[in-house]
Amino acid sequence: MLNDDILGSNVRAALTSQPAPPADLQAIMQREPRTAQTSPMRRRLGALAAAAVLAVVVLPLVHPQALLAAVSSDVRIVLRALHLPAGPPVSTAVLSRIRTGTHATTVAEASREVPFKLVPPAGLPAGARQSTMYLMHPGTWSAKTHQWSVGAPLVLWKFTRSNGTTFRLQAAKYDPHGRYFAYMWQTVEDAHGNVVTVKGHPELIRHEAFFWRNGDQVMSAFTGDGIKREEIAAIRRAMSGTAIPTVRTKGPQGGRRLMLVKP
Amino acid sequence: MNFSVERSLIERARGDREALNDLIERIWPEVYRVCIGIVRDRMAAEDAAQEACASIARGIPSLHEAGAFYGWMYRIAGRCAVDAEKTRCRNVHQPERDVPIVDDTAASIDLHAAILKLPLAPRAAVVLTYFAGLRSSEVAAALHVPSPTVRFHLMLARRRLRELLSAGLTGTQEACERA
Repeated sequence: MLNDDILGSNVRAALTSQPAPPADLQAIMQREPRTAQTSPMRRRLGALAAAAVLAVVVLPLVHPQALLAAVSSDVRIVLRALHLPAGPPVSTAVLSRIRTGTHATTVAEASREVPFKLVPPAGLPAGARQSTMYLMHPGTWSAKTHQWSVGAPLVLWKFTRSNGTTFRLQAAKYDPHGRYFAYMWQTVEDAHGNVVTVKGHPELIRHEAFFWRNGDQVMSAFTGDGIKREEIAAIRRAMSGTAIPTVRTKGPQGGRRLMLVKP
Repeated sequence: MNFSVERSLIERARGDREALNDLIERIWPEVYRVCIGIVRDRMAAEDAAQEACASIARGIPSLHEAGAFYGWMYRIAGRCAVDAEKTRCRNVHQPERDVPIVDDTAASIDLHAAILKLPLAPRAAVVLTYFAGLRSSEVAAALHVPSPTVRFHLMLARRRLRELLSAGLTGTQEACERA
């Protein structure tokens, strides 16, 4: 007979025997706004999260069965504006794993961790110096299983020009079945970090995207204030990379304002 | 109520960030276990537990009576878990796979698996009543349903658990209920 006493003791025993993962205080406090505004650690993690977002946007691969999407609401806004499936908000558990898996690295260290032969960038524009190099794991949304997961590691370099502008290069494993989009879209944020909208639609910045292969590595770069199309081409040539054709996608529809960044 | 933390820690956590961190670390396993009892996916359960802990961190300065902490904590955990499960079920348009359960005792495996096979409302009622030790009025407040509904869910749950445990859990996993 399954009475209340038996249920009470057995339910508690059954659930208490479930192993609990360690508490991720940073992820918890990130959800708690008071800490988010005051903690320097939060700001640092925020920067890392932003870098992780960038990493995922920088590699807009669409697989037949799995869509490599985004790890933040900003990127989901962009995907929706472009009529691409964005999936549900990323699980915070996955997000915290992405964050903990993101760290500064070196070429030698990253070469041991990435699942491809790492070819570092060459032929950089004059005056460009490397400011950071990260190893990071992108968030992957599977359209088949409807699950977020942590993707294979990739490497992100950030370079600073003498005029203070920056640009980024990213190396990931080449996927022969992947589609490489011709543009990267970015939301605009105001001084408070809110996404700027025009008539209810997000304002988007369009960047030209370039991809090239070196063996099983695909390097990607985007035009912007810090780098021009010709300079990206010079990096590709210096690396003896093979250019990958890109796929042109429809832009945002219906009155969304675009700010085009001139290459 | 088998779980407890020092009353002084709860009181200090209202205004002291270090104490709040200590408190969250102390309650985390308990909150997680409420969630893993209700949510049929470990990652989603962890997500729900984090959301619950964040809600607790946000709300604790306005909690006037430290003695009310446990009921309040379990209600938040239960509500976050139910919300997470509803969201998960909306996004998963296929029957779920069995939840992988790592455990030491066969009896625990059976009972936890049986609980996870219950529909969402009875499942939440069982966890909040028998694990958290909440009264039916408190469970009702957490689930936003009347108390008689909670008692009805518990009656259904006991009946279903009896069937599942006696059948050795050979039935097929139920798909997500539409909330």
